[in-house]
Amino acid sequence: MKHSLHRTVYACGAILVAAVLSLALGACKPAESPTTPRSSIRSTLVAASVVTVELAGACQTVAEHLAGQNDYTIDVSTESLVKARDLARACATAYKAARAALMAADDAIEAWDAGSAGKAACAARPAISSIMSLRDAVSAYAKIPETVNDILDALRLLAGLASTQCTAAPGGK
Amino acid sequence: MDDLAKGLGLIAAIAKVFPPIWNLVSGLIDGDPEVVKRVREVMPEKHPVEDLADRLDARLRGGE
Repeated sequence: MKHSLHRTVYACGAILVAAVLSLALGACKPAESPTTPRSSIRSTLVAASVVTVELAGACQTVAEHLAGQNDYTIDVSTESLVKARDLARACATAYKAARAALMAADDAIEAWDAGSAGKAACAARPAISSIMSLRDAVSAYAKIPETVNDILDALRLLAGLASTQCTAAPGGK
Repeated sequence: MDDLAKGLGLIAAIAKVFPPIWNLVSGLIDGDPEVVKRVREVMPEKHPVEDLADRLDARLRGGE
């Protein structure tokens, strides 16, 4: 029974993640390539934002299934409820942290000047571990599309631009 | 500054190497490369997963 529920949750999660990302990607139309550093950075940040929102949504679906919220015929144990609550809480925390970092990075490039790229790179850095937390939380129940790792790679490249500035900044930001 | 330019070039390059990213990113740009959605337009301040965590917490505390 427990394995069956786990399999169902896994299958639902896998379908959800794949469907949502397919929709997101399918809706995109070809456009001019970003030709400026500013638009390259912003594109990376926005792509990371889309992935964060979708991963948090997938996490929510998994937690709802664990809690039996979509099937009242399942008798849910306290253990499953605790597991669902902890998963949802972990994902909510990671989402908030990723949002704060990505918004700070986005703000850094709003008034574009010589130091903006470095500031954005530093501000975006904490988003990497937050998005990885979300990815890892969901990956226990669903297959993660390669796009998620691709965007994490792009974010790592961005964050890697300003390692010295980040180290020198007060508070390590 | 050279490193910065090199890094930015890499970001643009990786977007081309990985078509999924490129499709996603290019779809967020509306003609003018400078006109890209902002993070706050994409990410709501409070994601529904937070409400779910609160509801489950309340359910557990209430012993339902």
